[in-house]
Amino acid sequence: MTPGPLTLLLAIPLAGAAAAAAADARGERRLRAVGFAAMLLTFLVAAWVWLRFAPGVAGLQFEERAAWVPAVGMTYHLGVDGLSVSLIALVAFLFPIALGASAGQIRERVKPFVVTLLLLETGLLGTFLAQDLVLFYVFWEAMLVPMYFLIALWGGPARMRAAIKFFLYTMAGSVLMLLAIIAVYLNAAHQPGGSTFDLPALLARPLGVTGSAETLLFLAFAVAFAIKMPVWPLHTWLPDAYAASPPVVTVLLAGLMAKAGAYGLLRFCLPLFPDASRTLGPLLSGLAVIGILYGGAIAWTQRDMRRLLAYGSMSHMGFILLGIFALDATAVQGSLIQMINHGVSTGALFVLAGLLLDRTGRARTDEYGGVASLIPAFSAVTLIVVMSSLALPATNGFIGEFLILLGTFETRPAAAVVATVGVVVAVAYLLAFVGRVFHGPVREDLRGLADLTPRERALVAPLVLVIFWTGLYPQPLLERSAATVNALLNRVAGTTAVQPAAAHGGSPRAVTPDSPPAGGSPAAFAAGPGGRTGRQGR
Amino acid sequence: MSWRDLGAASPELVLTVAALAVLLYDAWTTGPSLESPRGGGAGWLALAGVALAVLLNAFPPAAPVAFAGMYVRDRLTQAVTLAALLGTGITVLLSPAYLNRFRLPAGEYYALVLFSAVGAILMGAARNLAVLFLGLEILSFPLYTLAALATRSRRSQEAGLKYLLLGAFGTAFFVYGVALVYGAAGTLDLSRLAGVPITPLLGVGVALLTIGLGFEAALAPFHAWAPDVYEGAPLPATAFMSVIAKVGAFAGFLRVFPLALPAASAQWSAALVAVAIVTMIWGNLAALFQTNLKRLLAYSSIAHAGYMLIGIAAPGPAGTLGVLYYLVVYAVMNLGAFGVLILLERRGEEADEIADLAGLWGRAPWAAGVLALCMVSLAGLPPTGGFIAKLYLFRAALEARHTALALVAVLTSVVSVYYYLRVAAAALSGTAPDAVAPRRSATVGIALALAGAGVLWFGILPSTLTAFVQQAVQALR
Repeated sequence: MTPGPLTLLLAIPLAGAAAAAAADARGERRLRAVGFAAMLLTFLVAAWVWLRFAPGVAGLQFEERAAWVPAVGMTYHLGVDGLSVSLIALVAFLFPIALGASAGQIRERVKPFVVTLLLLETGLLGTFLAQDLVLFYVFWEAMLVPMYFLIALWGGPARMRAAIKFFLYTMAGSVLMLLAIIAVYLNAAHQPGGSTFDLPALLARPLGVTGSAETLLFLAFAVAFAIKMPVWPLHTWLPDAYAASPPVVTVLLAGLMAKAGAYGLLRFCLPLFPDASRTLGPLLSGLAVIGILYGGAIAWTQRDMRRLLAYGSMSHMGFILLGIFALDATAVQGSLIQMINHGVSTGALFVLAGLLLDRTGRARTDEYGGVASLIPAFSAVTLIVVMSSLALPATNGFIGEFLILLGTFETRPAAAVVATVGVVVAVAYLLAFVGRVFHGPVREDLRGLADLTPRERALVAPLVLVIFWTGLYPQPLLERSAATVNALLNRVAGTTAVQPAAAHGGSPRAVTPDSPPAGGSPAAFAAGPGGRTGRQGR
Repeated sequence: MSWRDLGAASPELVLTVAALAVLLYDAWTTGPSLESPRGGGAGWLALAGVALAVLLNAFPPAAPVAFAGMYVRDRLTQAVTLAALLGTGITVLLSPAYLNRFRLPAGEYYALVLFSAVGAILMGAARNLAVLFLGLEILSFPLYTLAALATRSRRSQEAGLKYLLLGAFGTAFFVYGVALVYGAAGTLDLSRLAGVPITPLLGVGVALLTIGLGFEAALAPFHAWAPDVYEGAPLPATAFMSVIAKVGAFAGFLRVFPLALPAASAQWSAALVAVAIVTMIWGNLAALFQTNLKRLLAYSSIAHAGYMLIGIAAPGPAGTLGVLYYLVVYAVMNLGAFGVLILLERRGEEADEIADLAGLWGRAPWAAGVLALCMVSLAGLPPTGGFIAKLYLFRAALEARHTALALVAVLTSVVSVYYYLRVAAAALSGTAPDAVAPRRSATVGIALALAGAGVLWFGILPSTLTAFVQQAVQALR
């Protein structure tokens, strides 16, 4: 096998980390330049993959497969499909921005910081690329280790506690998933075809898990992903970790790591355990609604800027969960696009909060006032990002939440109605945040606050650009995911009988009551021809 | 005995000859002064012996079964030998700087290390309970002496005595067990034990035998000696015994349980599951509260003995594969962790507190990196060998339907992350205390580089080692 673009996506940050590790620790500028170059190169490859990705194909593209540990049935299997292609681009997009934003925050131990950041990028990309259960788990856990060190070594005063709490929480969830992975593998041993950890190969045959065993395995996977998102009530690590991390690390935690959880649900829970997904769907929708309202309400009461944004982020992740377990094509499409939006908007919010913290060192919102008249450009950008975060039309947030609520209304109307209240709560806490910080009487001790420097403008400009681009023209995102989502939901809706063709998606099966016909749903309308050409998948 | 027999046992013979050569060389260069000269001649001799043994180990002998059926050099023996030689080789590389600094007798030290390795290998090659006992004794007697090697240190003397007394106790159990097995079965031949009807007498014999091996492996509740002995013994000796004793003991477990007594697995499996669960919980919980690194690593090694026992308690090829893979990985990662400690010195003494590690990053970045890597591996996190090793063991546990065992194993792994990452974070942050100084040593550097590379290699590209131990497992079926 010749290494393809996906291997390149893993190899470039890794090589960048090695280059940074070998470089002289005193040349800070050079170290940052090495890191930035590696991340930019990674982004270029990711953008190329995104552009060359054929919409309308449900199955995996750019697949790479090689033997890893043949004796145990582990394969090095990478691939992207509609679920992951945009997320890959998001990861590669946010990392250079985070590194750029770190210039004011990370002044000590720059070399290990750059190395750790690049290792984290490798882990995250691998998580979204891996198509083998063990390979996925390796990346899933491997990204925890750099994240632990990023919090523990460069965080605020409470960093050690927050870092270990974060690690133990997430790991406690994922070790159970590891057992579940092994159980799925061992079950497959009794099925024709033998044992393997290869996900498409497993999906192509009956898994041999039913009833309560399936529910248990589903839960073992889902809890791991729910902790990472986080889903209420498994969120208690989040405020500490978000507040104790350096702001740039929070960007990655909220913008990217949370997505790994949501992605895991779509990639593994739904296709591997369709029956359990359907039976437990209402429960998870309920948790999602609670999370939306709870996160919003707590955010409203917070005076610490980053805790406010942290709970707000949790509330928004609730929408994504709601969309996934509506088990409706429109809603899942909405969730996928909302993952990108949340990554961009929440990422941008934390970037801006970090820039503000660098300037003033003040974490509490009531220590600010009238900032808008002091640094107008900064305030304007913040306002745009806040608007996108509370789903104003013409921004990216609107498309996502609208599709989620629309789709959920079809299948779980009660949840959709209650969740709509969450949109209002988001308006309340975000506007309260804007009001306290940017408006009101000018605090005298804030005079002399510097506005965005040209370098900072260059950092936030791409974020603002994406916000409007997605808001006004979401078509490219939607058409890339439509076919995969339809195939996935067909699989979930179908009973235990599995057709081998369905493994790679593109099943031409008729749509069942759980998911309305693709042609009639707004998602398919938005997706244009993508929704229909999906049937031509292999 | 024929030339063929000697050929089968060639790695052990090479190590023995190397040990004798080391002793002679030491006597020759020391002369009447009774003080070992500085310089690493003895160390290089020992290393050459290990290297030659590694080479010989790579070739399977013409006739695996030797010495009238008492000895066997099959793929399993080869895998055990690999783990033992890896541990011994890295230990030999780690030691010279420390021996010079603390003026310990190099000749005796290396000879004892080599003899002990012979014992562990012999346990892996045992086809007869008498040979197993012989291996156990050859393994443990040098370890008692090594623990007490620092004659000027009271701690070291105490450690040696404690180890000797408790070890003798454990060995006594073992011999008594062997005697009872002979009484019940009428044979000491492990290959014939499978056909023997299960009687209470045989059961008691096997149980006593297990206690003896449990002492050596530091399984709860027979682990009490480990923290004190680990803390008191000189650092390289601690590092070595933490690895070689496990290799020998688990080779013994493999020879006795899954291989010799497969028919009775229902009986002993439940008991071993219980021991494994207690050991994992006890070792990991006790390690949480340690501030001394040697004690912390002692409890950690107890916990790892518990993990390895999973592979014995879950009989079958998957379990054996898991144990063998784990032994090799454990040897590398544990010695890597100890190796970094050997580099540190606090005012002419060992620097073995966690606080002593602070600021290591600024002074010796690569050593701190290897320490962090080994800690991540000991915690069983990817992308290191520790993860793959645990994955294999968890698979074995679930395959044998020991769900509770697997659950305890993964949850205690989560607990272990807490103390391992505390050590790693200590080394990577803070400011260095003035009293502690990292020493430079080329051989330790090589050993650390090997350990770090090994940990990553076994974690990222596990197929080579997996295929190797897989062969060992298949050859047995």
